[in-house]
Amino acid sequence: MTAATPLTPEKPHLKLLYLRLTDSAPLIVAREMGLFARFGLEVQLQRETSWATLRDKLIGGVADAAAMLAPMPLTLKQALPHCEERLLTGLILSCNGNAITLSTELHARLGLSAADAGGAAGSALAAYLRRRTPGATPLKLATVYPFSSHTLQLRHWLRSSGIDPDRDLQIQVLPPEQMVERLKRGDIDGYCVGEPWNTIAAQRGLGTIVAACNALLPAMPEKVLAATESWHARNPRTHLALRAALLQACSWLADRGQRRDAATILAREEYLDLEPGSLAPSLNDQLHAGGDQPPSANPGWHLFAHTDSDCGRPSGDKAQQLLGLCERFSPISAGAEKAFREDLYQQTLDFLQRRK
Amino acid sequence: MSKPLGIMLVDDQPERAEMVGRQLRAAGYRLLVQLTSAEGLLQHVDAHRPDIVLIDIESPDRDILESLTIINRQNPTPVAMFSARGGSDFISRAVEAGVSAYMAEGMSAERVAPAIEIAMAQFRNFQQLRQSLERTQKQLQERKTIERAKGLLMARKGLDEDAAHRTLRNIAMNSNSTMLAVAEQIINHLQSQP
Repeated sequence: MTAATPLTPEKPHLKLLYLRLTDSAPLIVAREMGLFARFGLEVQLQRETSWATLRDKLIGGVADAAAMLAPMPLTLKQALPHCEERLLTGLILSCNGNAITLSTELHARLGLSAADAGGAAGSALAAYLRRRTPGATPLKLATVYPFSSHTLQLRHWLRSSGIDPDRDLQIQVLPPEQMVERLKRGDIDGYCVGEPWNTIAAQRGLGTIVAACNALLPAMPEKVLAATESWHARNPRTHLALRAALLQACSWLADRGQRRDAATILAREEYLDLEPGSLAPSLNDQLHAGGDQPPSANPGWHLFAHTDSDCGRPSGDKAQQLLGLCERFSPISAGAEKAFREDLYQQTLDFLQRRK
Repeated sequence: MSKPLGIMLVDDQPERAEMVGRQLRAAGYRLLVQLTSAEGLLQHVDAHRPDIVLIDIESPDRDILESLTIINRQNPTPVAMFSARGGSDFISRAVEAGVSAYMAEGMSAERVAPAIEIAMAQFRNFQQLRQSLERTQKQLQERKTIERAKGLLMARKGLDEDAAHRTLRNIAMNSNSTMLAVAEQIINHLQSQP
């Protein structure tokens, strides 16, 4: 393919799935800025509520691709043992983006102020759990999917505080957009979720952010562009066009100067349907822990892929790291790391380079 | 044949749940419990030990089942509709119909597939019923609008019913429009006049 040859996608009309999260930004920005159109694609975006639904719709062929949690393609066999389809990714859209929030009530019981960092909160939680009478209703913390970066980060935080995530409390799964409501109702005592659901709980006085996950496990792959293997085999040029458009959107978002505009676009009713004021803090690396605390700087709260960095490269090493963390609580499948297709990422870079 | 499969149904649409439940019982399945929300879902699973849980694919409550199956390693484990035997056609039909299913450890996809087929058929029936109900309501509404326009024409222009009807029909034909659109315009127009 030479620079003069335009890309002709096999399938120009596409449907992509996403969830109501700040880091769905690359899909929304690519659409709003006409980046899909630049590569011959017309893309419809469809918002889903839960990761399980998004996963099943993608596998069931209702959509062409999705912004998906990075560990999902690596652990499909564990989630759906009877499924013969496989998922793959050739682009990590973003790293980081999550935080751990405890209910204001639990936080107060721990005797902490919002200024205390994650380590102090973890130790206080461990001490609190030791003080509790045996047989008391266990504390419930929520994550967004069994094999999510959130589960890995939450378990890591608990373990490094001396808490056994399997014995000392309960971890359950809830859709991201239900977290704040469930925290308010007292169904759960805290959660690990992507933005803006930590900031919103803090802004409404319902929760206190005790740890930004990028401070626990830096530069952890968060969202990937996922498709099924069979879809990729049928539509290799479409997939390349899609990755090229999204890598350009990510590169645009990587520039923090652009993010104010991004917050306004994302907030719109047809996309996330939220207040721009809830979306802007994390995009601007500002962490409002809760209470009267002034915002603190949290550099790298969202790291979007960029043609000049390695953030978007789905390398075998990154796959192995994620699988290693999953393996601490669930057996993994041999060869699972093959879902991360570094070769497809390289193909995207080469393609964009030739088009310059 | 061994003991019939025990099924738990979670559906926030009571009419649809009724339809699915009736067909499953008619086919010889044991309907253990029918829930309209995930309230107490874990306790119900624990108490009833279902062979299959059937749930709307759009239901956010599915995540609670996933945490049960994967994190806590209890029965049931997912997921029947992704059966090797059924292949991708079975999967896309289930997703299309909006059914997702979780099955107990050790259960074979072959044994649960017929129950899922029943649920799929009823989900599709329910969808069609709802669409036809919406159509009927729309038609009823249209007829009311046309009657109202006729009434206004009769009162304001001193026409009898036949003449009012002919007027509406002629305007519609001449302006290449529908009776409904014309009726709406006439209502707007006559209502804005004292």
